[in-house]
Amino acid sequence: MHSPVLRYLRYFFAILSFIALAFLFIDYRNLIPVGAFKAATWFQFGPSLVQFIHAAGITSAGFIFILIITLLLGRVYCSALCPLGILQDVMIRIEKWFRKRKIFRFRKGTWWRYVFLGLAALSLFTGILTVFNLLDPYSNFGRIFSTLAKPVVVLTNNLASGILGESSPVTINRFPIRGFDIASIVYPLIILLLLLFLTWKYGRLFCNLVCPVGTLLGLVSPYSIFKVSLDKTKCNQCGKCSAQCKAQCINIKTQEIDYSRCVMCFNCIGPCPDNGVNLGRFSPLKATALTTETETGQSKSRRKFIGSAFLLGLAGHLFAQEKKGGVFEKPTTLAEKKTSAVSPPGSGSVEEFMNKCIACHLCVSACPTQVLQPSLLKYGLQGFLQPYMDYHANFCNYECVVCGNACPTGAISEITVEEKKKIQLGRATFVKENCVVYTYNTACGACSEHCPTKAVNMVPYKPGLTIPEVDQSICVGCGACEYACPVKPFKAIYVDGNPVHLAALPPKEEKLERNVEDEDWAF
Amino acid sequence: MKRRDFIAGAAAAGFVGASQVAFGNLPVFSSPTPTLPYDLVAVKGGEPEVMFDKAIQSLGGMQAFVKKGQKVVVKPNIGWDASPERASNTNPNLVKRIVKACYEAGAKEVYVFDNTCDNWTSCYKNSGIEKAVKDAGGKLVGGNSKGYYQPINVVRGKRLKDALVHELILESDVFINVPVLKNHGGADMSIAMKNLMGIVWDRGYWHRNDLHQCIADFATWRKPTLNIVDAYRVMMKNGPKGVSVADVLTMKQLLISPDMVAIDAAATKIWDPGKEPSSVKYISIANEMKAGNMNLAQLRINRIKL
Repeated sequence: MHSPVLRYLRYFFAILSFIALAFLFIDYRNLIPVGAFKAATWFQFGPSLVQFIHAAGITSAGFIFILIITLLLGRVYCSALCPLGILQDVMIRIEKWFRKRKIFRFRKGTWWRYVFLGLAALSLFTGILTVFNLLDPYSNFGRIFSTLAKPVVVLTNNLASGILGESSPVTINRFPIRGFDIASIVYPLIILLLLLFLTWKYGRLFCNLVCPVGTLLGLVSPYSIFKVSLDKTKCNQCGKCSAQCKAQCINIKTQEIDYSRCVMCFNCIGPCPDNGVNLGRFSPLKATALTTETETGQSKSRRKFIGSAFLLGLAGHLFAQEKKGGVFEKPTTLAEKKTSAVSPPGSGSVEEFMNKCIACHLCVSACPTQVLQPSLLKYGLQGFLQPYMDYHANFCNYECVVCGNACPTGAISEITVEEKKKIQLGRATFVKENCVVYTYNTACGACSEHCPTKAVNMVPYKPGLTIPEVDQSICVGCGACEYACPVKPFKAIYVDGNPVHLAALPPKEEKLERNVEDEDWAF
Repeated sequence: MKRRDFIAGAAAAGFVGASQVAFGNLPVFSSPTPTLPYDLVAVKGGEPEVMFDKAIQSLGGMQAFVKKGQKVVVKPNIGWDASPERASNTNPNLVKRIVKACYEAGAKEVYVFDNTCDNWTSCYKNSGIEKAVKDAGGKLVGGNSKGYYQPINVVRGKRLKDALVHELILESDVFINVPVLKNHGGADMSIAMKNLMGIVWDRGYWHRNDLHQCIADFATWRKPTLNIVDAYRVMMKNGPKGVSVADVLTMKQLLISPDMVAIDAAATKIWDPGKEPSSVKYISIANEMKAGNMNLAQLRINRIKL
């Protein structure tokens, strides 16, 4: 086939996939219906593979589908479905506006990619996902959109709300940004800058160097049935096809294509003046010989500087926004003694969670209360970037199970609200010496007020005063008490995580004994 | 609270002067017709909207409080992600009827919001208030972003000298406070004065700095145009959020008064006829600070039984 149809088909799928996934990660209004998450992420290779390892089934068979597609059509996944790949295509397109003339040159494939693939594979097999999570394209896309793009969108929304609010009736609601840790932007920012640099200099090199999914599919794609090829009878080696090849995989001298690196973008077909580049059917063929090449060259781009300056500015804004106004007369002195971070409801245990979570931050984006935040070292280095329950940012809504609906790997399993209410993520612990009631003999009760089960209950303390009392057996570990506790810097009540989630007893119910029917006016 | 020093200085310079500095450019809520026939109206035995209609009629109708073309803000309690049966939030049918009544009296716009405790979108939705307000043609606004809040001074406040208050409160001509009657583990009772914690940003400050005093302090800032207490379903324990419907008694009562202290005193008696309103610390402090009158015997009360 020789027509722009192939390219338009790619655009169609790429735009669909990109918009759907980008929307998942920046949906600050929580408009996405439950169930749409898993449909949108089913095709994603990384999460699907991780889920398959732990729970093989139709819901985790997306990566098999991708493998089959690759055997049929080559690495179309990389150009039409992978959001990070499409993001690079977007970058390349935008970068074209800023440069006079851009052509790509053929480069030989590098064996370094197999090192990255090997490390990722090792990471998967050992269950220590850290390395896999740092490399997986879908996860990297998720983190870029969840940590970098979403706050920008929310701030833009709030800015618009402020501007409209001045002159007209309030029409746009503001949305808060909670618990934003500036350090969490470092890794996504590094990847984003790396992508900008690589796309500027080498097209889709990330996909043929760093990306383990790309390299893995590259082991299959040379055997695909349909391939793009140069017709040696027509080709006069003008190089127009090669100049458009973002994967830099068309060797015009030998008139051969390195199929292990071809991402099937079809950009090479159109430019050929002699209709010599075509998608055709092939019998299983050997991969183009691979030779080693060392990566060279490093340049500081102005863009890099502008990008970081902008993000630093944004970060400053966020930091300022989260600053609290009050000054507590006497800071609390007893530190919270947390022995374990709290993993999300439905994760079963911290260990299980760490073995399944690819740190894509879809749950972080989907969480309506923003209690889920990317960890840095809360789970140790092994759990780098995996989300944890940050009870200083907010608390977990008793009636909500959205994170389980969103999670693409099953690290947070889908549970019902009724099931969730019986799970104890951790236990509330009261530190009397930090408590307002004990220190100042004034009323408070903020912890108990927020407690959904009354595991934290206010009991008589002194005349006219009540003080919190904790019944850990009915505590679900939602963190409402810890979040609401007004003292600083250490809270008077905090939730220590259960490394393995336990069962919480149901809240107590007592019938009220009072017949209001016969009552007269009380005043 | 960084402006505290400035404000303390201003207050020392002269009470009247300070209040002029503080309120010079702010609109003040429109007050009800000065000749209200009653200080407080109590209704029992009907559906929330029916009780409201009866009560407001006996005060001269909503037009006594809302004038043509005015901007109205209605502040129910929408603090919790709970269904109407749990009585954690104000009854949605009552809110709907109030919003409608405001429009019938000629209001230009009617806004509803709360600075919720649980996730605000869930609270608005599951309380039934989102639908109720939309059905009545009102506008529901968020309250959970600091950007909405503007600084004000509480000139007569002892512990609470300033606060960040939602811009809707500051921009509206009429402010209707619509709490639900509940018990409260920390503050004893949650009624009209306590409901105003939902129009400020930093509640933690109140909790750290003598909650009862702060509630009373804030009651001296400004009187809402009208307070309407929903005592249709009443939370008797585990308040203010409650755990289940087992915490709730159906009492079918409603109170209306422009006086927050009086209405809180009356509501306390509804909650427990044996409980002295003065036993609720912030009620007696607010009474002392002359934010209102807790002595029910001194009030002109209209009691309506349906």
